Amino acid sequence: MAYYYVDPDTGSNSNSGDSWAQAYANLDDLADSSTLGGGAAFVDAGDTVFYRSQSAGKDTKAAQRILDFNGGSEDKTQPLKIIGVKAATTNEGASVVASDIAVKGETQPIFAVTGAGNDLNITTSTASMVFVGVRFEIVDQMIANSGNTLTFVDNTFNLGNRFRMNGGWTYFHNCDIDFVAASDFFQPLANHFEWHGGAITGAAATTFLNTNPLNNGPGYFYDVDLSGLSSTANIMVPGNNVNMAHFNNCKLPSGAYSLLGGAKSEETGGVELISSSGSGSHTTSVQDYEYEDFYGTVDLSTNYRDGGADDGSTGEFSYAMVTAADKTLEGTHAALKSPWFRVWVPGDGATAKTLTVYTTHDNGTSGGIDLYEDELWVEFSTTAEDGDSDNTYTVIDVAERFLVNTTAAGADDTGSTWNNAAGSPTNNTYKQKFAVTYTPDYDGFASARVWYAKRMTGSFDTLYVDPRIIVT
Amino acid sequence: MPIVSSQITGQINKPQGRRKLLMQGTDQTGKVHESRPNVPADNDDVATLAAWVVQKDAQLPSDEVREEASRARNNKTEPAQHQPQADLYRGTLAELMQIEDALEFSESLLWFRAFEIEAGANTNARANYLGVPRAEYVLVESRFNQIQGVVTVLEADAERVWSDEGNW
Repeated sequence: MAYYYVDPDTGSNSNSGDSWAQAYANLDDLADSSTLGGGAAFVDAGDTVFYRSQSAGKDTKAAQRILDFNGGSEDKTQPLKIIGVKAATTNEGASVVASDIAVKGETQPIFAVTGAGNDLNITTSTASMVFVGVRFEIVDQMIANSGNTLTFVDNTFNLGNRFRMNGGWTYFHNCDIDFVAASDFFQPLANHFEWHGGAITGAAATTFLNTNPLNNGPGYFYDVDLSGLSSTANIMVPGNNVNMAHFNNCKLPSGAYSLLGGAKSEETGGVELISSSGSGSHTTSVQDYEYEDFYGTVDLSTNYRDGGADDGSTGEFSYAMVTAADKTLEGTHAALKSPWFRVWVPGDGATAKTLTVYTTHDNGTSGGIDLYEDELWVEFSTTAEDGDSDNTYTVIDVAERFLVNTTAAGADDTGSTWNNAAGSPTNNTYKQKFAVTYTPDYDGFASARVWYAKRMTGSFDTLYVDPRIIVT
Repeated sequence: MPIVSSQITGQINKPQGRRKLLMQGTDQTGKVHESRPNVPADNDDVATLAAWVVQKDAQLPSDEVREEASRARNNKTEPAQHQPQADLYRGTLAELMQIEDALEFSESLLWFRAFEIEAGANTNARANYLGVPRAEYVLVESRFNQIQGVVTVLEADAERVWSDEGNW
């Protein structure tokens, strides 16, 4: 087992590589003995490589190459560790990893930074960086600054504070974040962040996304196991100027988790869970939906309308919408919006079609009457109906068309039967329907979403929406 | 001041026996705060409400700081309700100093100038008002002054832009 030192800024491949003073210049060439001065040095199983670089682009090879210690002509070098250090112990190095390299190892090489207040900075301004199979052990913050793309594959982040990412597009593929303390959190700040597969492990963090996360762009999480968070965790404590966090097919804590904690504002963004709100396991329905933003919440509900939405798994269901206290404003964009509902509509340019969306609501503060047109309306989007079948643009149509009407209720619905699986109330008193009729020129999807702007000043008034668009 | 009253105002029944609890708490100013946890079927709802109230009490000062930071970028301010005024200003300044985007940071310039008038006649007085070392306050002050210079240059440049007709 040997130790090797690599420093693209000051090293040389004619050096011995056994100290920072004798550092090699090229990390990549360690895997190929023929390219090193003297030809004697090559990395072998169990070896450790200490690497440091203070500036981007110092490594001599092209960007995005994979440093493959376990393949090609030098298939004899596993396992090994790559350590970028700023340590108080044995090996002093820079805390900045700045290069256009890609790093690969199959047995969890390590970038380790010890000591409180010492951050690991991964910096690249012009090139993309790829890290494969790397374990990062950071006592304090890990900071990634990139003007380009950062990709992490099969990595583990053992964090003592937070992982903060700035700029660029950042991708996690099958990565784990291993928190040390319950107060640790994740702070993605990339222009675009995606995480596909992986888990939160270690200490049960009380907040997953914290301190103005997603400040520069939205976050998308797919198949990520979040059940390792605290059983009473907040998925996001947003702050200001925050974008949306979307979770798809993710596993949530089994306890009493909340989507948003802390103060909210119009700049807060929101959290959307699709097929993710379960009891510590993935749910089985793609219709499972949970959403929260400044204006309120939308949830999958077991209340349902006869003949309405039924996915065959969850069973019959509706979406329950509850506006936040004193946040919405009737007849305006300051409203809680449902997800888009879609249906396939055949069209021949001659047959009129009517799309209908059904709702009902609890009595609550609505005064025991149907909701007014400026409190509840439906936005439709359909295929063209103007005779120009070559175009596929959509038209926007609002069902009632009179959003400023503060005294007239939307159309009453007398034909539906709503059911409450948990007992009373049955929500059958304040049924309404919203319809639009058009003559589609050709087959295509029609979409609808509900805008709920009723201002709540006292008790909540839950609106139930059947997401099945009825076509007649 | 803490949450002075709280209640569970309703729930939404979800699949697998889970429920969305609708909880409200009112602080001493009459402002309503909300939390809507997703809870399992056998959840102790009263305990969840009590735990949230305790958590919210602790969060009110930091929530107020974040709200003031948001207001600051829109040239608005409100008196502190959940902490001493100087603490609110100090926290808000710390929040603003974390803004990396210079354009976004510049949106709080007018708020900062108003703060300066209220906090004292000079740098020493303002640092003393905030309870921070003068050297640290100078870092904050310098960033605002630098961004003020940039804004002044840009505004001067904008005044020199010609209209699309009438010039030459």
